[in-house]
Amino acid sequence: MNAIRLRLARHPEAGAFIGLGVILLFFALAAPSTFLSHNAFASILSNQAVPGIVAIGITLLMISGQFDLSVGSIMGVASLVFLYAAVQGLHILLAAALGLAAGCGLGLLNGLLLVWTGIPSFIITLGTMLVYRAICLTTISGGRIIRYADFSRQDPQLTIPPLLVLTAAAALLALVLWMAWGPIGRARGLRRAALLVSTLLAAVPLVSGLVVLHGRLFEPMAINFFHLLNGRFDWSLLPGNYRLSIVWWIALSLLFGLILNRTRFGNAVFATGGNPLAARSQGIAVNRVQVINFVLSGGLAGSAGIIQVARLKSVDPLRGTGLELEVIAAVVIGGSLLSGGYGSLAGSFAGTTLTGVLRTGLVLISVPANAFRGAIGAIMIVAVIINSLVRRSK
Amino acid sequence: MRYPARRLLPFLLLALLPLPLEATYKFAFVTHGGPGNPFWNVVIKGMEDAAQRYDVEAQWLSNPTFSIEDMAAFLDDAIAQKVDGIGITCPDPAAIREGIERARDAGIPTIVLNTADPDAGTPNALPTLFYIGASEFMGGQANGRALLAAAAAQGLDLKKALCPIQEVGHSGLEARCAGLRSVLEPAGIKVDGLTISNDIESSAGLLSDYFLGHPQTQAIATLGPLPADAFYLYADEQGLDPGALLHVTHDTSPAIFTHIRNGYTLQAIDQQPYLQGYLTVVFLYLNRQFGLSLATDALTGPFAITAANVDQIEQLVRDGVR
Repeated sequence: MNAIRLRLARHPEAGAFIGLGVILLFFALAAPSTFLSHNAFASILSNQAVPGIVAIGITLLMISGQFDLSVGSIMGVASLVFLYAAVQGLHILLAAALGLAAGCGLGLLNGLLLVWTGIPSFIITLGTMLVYRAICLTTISGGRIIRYADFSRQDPQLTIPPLLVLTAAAALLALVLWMAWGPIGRARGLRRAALLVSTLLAAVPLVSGLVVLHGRLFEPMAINFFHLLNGRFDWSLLPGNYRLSIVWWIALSLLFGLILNRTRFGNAVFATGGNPLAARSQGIAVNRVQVINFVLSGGLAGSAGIIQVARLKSVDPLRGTGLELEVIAAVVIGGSLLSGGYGSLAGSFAGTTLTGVLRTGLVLISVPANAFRGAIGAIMIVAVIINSLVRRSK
Repeated sequence: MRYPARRLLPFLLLALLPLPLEATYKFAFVTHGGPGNPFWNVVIKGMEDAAQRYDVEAQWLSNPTFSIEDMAAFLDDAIAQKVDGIGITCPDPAAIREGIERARDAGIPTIVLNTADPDAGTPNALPTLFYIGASEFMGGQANGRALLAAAAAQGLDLKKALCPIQEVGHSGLEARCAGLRSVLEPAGIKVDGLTISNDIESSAGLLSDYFLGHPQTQAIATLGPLPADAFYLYADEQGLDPGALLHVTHDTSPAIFTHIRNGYTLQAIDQQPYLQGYLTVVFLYLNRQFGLSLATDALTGPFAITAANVDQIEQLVRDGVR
């Protein structure tokens, strides 16, 4: 029993996955006909993708021992910049880049304020949360809403020249071969041949998928930009309202998971949060790590905002309000410690999913409106208690 | 026929004299919202139009951000200026009680607009003349009656309706839901509550969860523009036909007007903010001039916006009157 606990303690995400399993089981038994449906799962995943992407940045920050309360406001500003630039007639990619830059820039400001003043990030970002919110509130005052539909009836289209499509296909093929090269080189004889064949077989659908996606390889490809970011899966296999934001959520989680666990920067993040003095004495530029994390967190909040705008096609001045607490709660459920040095992106993924399951499940079993938030809070506390029990054995 | 400039001099001097058109009265508006907010802009326009027509001076005293302390301070300023009448909103009667009582002692009439004194009609009421504004409860009732009428017209056996609330505990929003309930429940229609927020995406998700679990619910009453947007996102992504779910809402927005026109929304309840500014000036003037007053509150809402009048309303929104 103790051995199991010891092994679990090495995985910050263990508690979140166990909790997720228990809660899934509970709702599957409590509301079998409605909960076990594509509609319910699509609702959970599609609506958690945006908080999930923001949670990636918060996880990085929390592992390095910091806190960002301003992510909801940053998301609002980035959404505003993106849509405002788009309705001014700027190229949609440029608009997206501006939105992303706004997110990174506001994150940079948080980080610089932290390292320059040494004031705890809780206080700094509490302040910038209000300041950044004021940007949205003053730009789009009162109940006004900026809507893409008022500017254009058609979603923005990206035209991709055929050369770029071909290059992308070739690059994709090269990437697959490069990734497989090591194992192929190490294998011998029949195994080697089998690996080579299976690699090629894997590469073919990848590359041809890109071609088939549009049908004609030598003609410019037109992509609906909003659909690319957050459209609906139009597959007959998936009847629910599954949206492409889920793919971005998973892809970004994997990417940052690799960065966190497989790179020197990732190591530096853990070291900075675990013991900043020791990290500094090992030659880690602690301040730089903190600033980079704030920029990443702002950039991810900005990306989440842009992805959400692609679905809603509008920005209101309250966009992202309250998101920070929801996301921090999800990251804490996911096993990250507020004190830093401990946490995982898989845990944050599970934690974000868990809060979504709770929300959908509680509505499905008709928890009264006035008790709804209370029930969510109570279950979160239970989840965190389980987490710390698992960790105590470490 | 040339006139020497000398002979014109007396006329030029006359023109330089200050115009003897000093306003007859000076009124102050002390409120919890103000310029920059599209809602308050309409109230201010009503105030200014009435001030011009009645040849009085009216001054708007408010902070861009909601602050009760500032309201008390602005009220002090107004009394110190010895204005002839005060229009005030009552989000927190305790904070302005002392100021209002001093205004009464100084003989300055006060009218409450937009947000009523919650203690009105009790011994605790503030010493004011009456209230000019909307009744949230009656707005909810009007939406309830619209749902009943639409269900009857379609031959629909309405069993259940949803009233999602975006700020649980907000007295105005709760009053809107209570009004809806007071009409629907005696007709045997259960009204479900649901906690949503002003976040469109997550609220649309909650609506989707709710309707998945409660397919027998056929009507929804939203309480503001952002929750209405959440409903429209849900309806759009589910591919709902107009009228598949009966929808009524409070407040207005371009999206609400569009959906009234294309049949997704039966009606929207408006509180006619222009009247709140305009009538306050008119009644302060009448009180000051002749000592006249109303024996009851003047309700500027509910006013129902439907497919029949939405075009006219949209034009008036552009003119700044709605």
